[in-house]
Amino acid sequence: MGGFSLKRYLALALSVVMVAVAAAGCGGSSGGSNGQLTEVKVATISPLSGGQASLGVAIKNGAELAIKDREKDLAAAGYKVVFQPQDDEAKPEVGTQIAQRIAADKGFVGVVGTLNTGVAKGIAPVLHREGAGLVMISPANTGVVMTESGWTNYNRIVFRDDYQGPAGARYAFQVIKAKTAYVMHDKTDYGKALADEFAKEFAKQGGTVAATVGVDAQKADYGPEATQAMAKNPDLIYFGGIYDTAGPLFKQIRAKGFKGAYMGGDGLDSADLVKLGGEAAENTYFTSVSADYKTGDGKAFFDKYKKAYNDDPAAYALYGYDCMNIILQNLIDYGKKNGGKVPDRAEFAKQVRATKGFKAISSTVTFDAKGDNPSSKVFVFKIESGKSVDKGAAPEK
Amino acid sequence: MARRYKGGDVMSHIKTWFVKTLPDLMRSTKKWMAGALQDPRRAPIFAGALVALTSLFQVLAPFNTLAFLLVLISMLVVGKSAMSKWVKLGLAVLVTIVVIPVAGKQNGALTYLCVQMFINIALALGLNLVVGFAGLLDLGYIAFFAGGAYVYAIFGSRQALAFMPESLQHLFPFGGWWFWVAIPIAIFVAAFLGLALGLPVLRLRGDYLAIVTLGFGEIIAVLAKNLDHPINLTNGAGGIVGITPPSLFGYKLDTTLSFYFIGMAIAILTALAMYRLERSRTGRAWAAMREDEVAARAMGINLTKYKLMAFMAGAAFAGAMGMLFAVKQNFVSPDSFSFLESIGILAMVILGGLGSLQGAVVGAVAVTVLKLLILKDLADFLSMTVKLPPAFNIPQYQPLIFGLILIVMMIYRQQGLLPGRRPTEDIALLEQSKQKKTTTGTSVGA
Amino acid sequence: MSESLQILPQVLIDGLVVGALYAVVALGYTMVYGVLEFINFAHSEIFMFGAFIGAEVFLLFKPMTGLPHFVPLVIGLILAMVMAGALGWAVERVAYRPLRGAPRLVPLISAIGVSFFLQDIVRMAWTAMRGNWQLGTQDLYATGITVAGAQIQVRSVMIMGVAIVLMLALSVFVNRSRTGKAMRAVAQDRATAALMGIDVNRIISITFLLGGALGGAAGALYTMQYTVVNPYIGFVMGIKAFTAAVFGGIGNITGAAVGGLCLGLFEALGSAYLGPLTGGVLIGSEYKDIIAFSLLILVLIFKPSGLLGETVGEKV
Repeated sequence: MGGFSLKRYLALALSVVMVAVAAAGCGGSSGGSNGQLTEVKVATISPLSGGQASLGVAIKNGAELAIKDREKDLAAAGYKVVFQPQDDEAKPEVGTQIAQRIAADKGFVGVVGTLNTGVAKGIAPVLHREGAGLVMISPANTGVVMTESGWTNYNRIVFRDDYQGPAGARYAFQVIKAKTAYVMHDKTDYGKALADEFAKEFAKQGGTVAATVGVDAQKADYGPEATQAMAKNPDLIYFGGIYDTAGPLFKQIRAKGFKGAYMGGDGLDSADLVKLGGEAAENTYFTSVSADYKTGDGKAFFDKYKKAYNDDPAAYALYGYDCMNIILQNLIDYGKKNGGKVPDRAEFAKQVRATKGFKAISSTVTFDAKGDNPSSKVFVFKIESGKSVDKGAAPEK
Repeated sequence: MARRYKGGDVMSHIKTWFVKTLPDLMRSTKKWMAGALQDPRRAPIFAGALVALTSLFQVLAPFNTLAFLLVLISMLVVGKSAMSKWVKLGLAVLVTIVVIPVAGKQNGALTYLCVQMFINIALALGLNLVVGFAGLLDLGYIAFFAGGAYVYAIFGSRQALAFMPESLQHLFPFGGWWFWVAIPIAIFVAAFLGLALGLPVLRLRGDYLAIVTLGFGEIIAVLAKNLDHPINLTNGAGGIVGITPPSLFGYKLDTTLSFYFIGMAIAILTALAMYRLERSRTGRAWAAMREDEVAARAMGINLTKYKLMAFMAGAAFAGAMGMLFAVKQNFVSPDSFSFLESIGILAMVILGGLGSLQGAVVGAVAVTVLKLLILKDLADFLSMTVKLPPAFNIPQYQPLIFGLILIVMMIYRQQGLLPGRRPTEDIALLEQSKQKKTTTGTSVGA
Repeated sequence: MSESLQILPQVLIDGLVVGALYAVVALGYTMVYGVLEFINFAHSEIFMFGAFIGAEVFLLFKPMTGLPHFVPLVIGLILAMVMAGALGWAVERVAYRPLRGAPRLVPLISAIGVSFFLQDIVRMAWTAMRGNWQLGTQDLYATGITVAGAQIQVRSVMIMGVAIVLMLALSVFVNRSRTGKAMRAVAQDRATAALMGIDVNRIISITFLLGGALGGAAGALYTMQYTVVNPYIGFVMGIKAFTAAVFGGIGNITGAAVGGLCLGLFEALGSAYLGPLTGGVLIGSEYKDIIAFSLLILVLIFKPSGLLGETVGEKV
């Protein structure tokens, strides 16, 4: 066996040192100090790839803008906020894994997300249980279950489906004057619950629900489903789901000769619905959140977003902005009182839940005991000539 | 060593260093280390020192990826060194029961990673049984895992209330200690699924068998997605949330650390069972079946019986682990049981070595670490240095990695990284023991 | 009940259209299996690649409204066939040829690896090029016509037409040309064919090239029919097309065609009538995919040689 000369020992030691230096850089860290500012991390969890990316990216962009806007105020309170957007691909599996990582990383102080209720359902309890109650505010989850499960760290600024679905049903029956509705959904938590709420209220209003059918999301061939729908000859077809399924579905139902109106929820609120659905998307109604981009803060946001991202802000961009702003404002308030420390998660979540009268751009936010925002209103939009037109608030009764 | 260093000389010196000196160094170090490890006197010291060093590093730097990798490598080294079983066991116990939990206290993600690792180890061992021992290429193995997970998810959460008759509703969801009772139930259900898969495919060979098992896996996934009407069994695509964690003698075991220990226990039991099975009569029958079905049948081996046993046994282990999965995630959805997952497990077994126990374990560890740790670090690193579009999501490029593993392993090293040694009997020893029996006069049955 | 009968023509037509696509993809599987007795698992991803190429071509012509749809369609078809054929050839050279002679499971596992690899490479490439991996194209030939009380779009008719042309062309090639004869020889007995002076490697390469081209053509047609492509369309299509190939008799070109159409019809009929048959308990369209898998299992258990195939005993 070759002897170990000094030269070899030195070379070996050098290699080990090199590797060690490289290694020291690897792995995560739990926040640190940046000069005098405490570094904290926030994340958005939304689909940044795949069929629903347009909505997910909007949330991320909106949140990013909020961080930029409040940078000075945060610095004054002693914080530097690092933004780490996450891609959940609209899959609960992926979301749960992301949640686990964020929960374990003590540098995170808050999460904005998700887009899909089905994904949030897996994330919120993980943050609640493993993340010591890390606070989470959703700009888009409308599923009722999220605020009925006792997750004290979860809040949302949008309405719930037990409000959205019935609002749509009232509009469909009273304004569109549809008598029979064929209800479809994408089998997700969100889609199914929304469809059921619609069906219930529609029947209560006096309409007839021909059937409630689930379709597999993001499939190519909806021929059989379309044939079945046409067989019932409804006035209106309601779809609880997201635009990436709705586009092809609506197209294929139109191809079978459907002349009536389509209707759906906030999942349809994307310019991509027209891109994917083409002409079939004409005469589609959907309920959604709304924002006034013509005056005041809304217009300022619109211009800022357009300048930064070279695109009109999609539906949830503003809501992503508002959610992040709520977290940041609470952080600033905490920092002023406690001298720029990293907040204790449970305490911080309580503080966020106690937010009252926060003047967000979309609405004035006060979280109730469950984490809902009662001031959020439902608006109805219609696709006319390839653009969505605001048709006003949905009927209250 | 007086030398004058001129410009060109420096360059060639650096080049020589990389091309000759460093590889030479690595080779001689490797030889020296291998020597030390095989020497029964030096091995414990060397291995012990290695373990101590890496453990220290890990505990001091709980978030450091390299530290964890070094701990894993040190375990591998311990396994391969020539020491007494007890020393090896002691070192292993030290690392798994002391070092990791201590580091895990600081870094919860580390414990979580280890839980996932144990789950994958058990799954890889199970698939290794079906594919490696018995030679039945099962591409839908994840279905059995899903079976176990859903069984506990349904009865361990409020899901059961959705379809149980009024009179029985007060029983659900299962309390914490039902977890232990549910384990045999989950095993039974999974084994039943194994039977359901095994019966139709008895007569199929190689590639056709593989495709049918794939179809079976997909059927289970579709069922999971759609069995929310007429009776709501699985809650469809939304999945089941809110699964009660297990409890033992009144203590609720719902922290990641408790899952870590439960997972470790199940993985160890699985490995022990595999070890015994491989050396049993059944294991030998499987080996015969794997090598040449026709010849095995000619030798009198009941193919039906052993094929079904292989499927059912493999399924049982997956089912048991499925329960832990359900509890750890607190959430079960059909997405977790896709074809990609089945292929992931196959990649683990192939990487480690088809038919080899150590191979399956090493393969599982390697792929898990690759998937959950290295890819994520790579992604973080890249996102800080290069601006990639958000859809470039590196951790999700699992199909690429699994695909590459499969292709490369098949072309370059079909036997895997740690190929198994077929347990062989030493004829001479057998003769000796037979002689002993006759001379001492012990007769059969006396 | 009358409602069920009323939709029958529509159901049948839908089934035939989908079946035509299955048939063309099935051709690729059956060819390769016939010559090599090997399931080219990666064929589904070659199909998907063809679909993406077709989509890119269609999108290239999208701004030119007023251009006859003929142009993007033909160019898309040809380009997809060429590139997918090349990909098929390349896959064989890189991932299968080194494994010639290894036990059966080895190239199969390699093929699975290739399938996953290609899926993600396409995802990566298109994410890098376009920022997302899902593409939506414009409608081509989407005007609807009514036939026997059913709505059908012109493109569906075109797909069936192109499928028939491709199958006939392949049949003529295999049965009438010299290379086709060589392919049949290699399929029958590889060793003897080599002894007869046939360059077996070249024939195998041509087989994969042709198979890939057919997959690519199917891909372009798929894009025209559904206008939305993503890297995951290959998987389900692959299983169904393989089912069709086995059902019709693997190794048999006519079998692939018949199998494809039959599977399409079964699926459509099953989706439409499973609900009424089970009294509304099972909604047919939700279990559509299981129909294909179940059919596969049944065929393999009861008649592994398929409808038009011959039973071959297992040699010891």
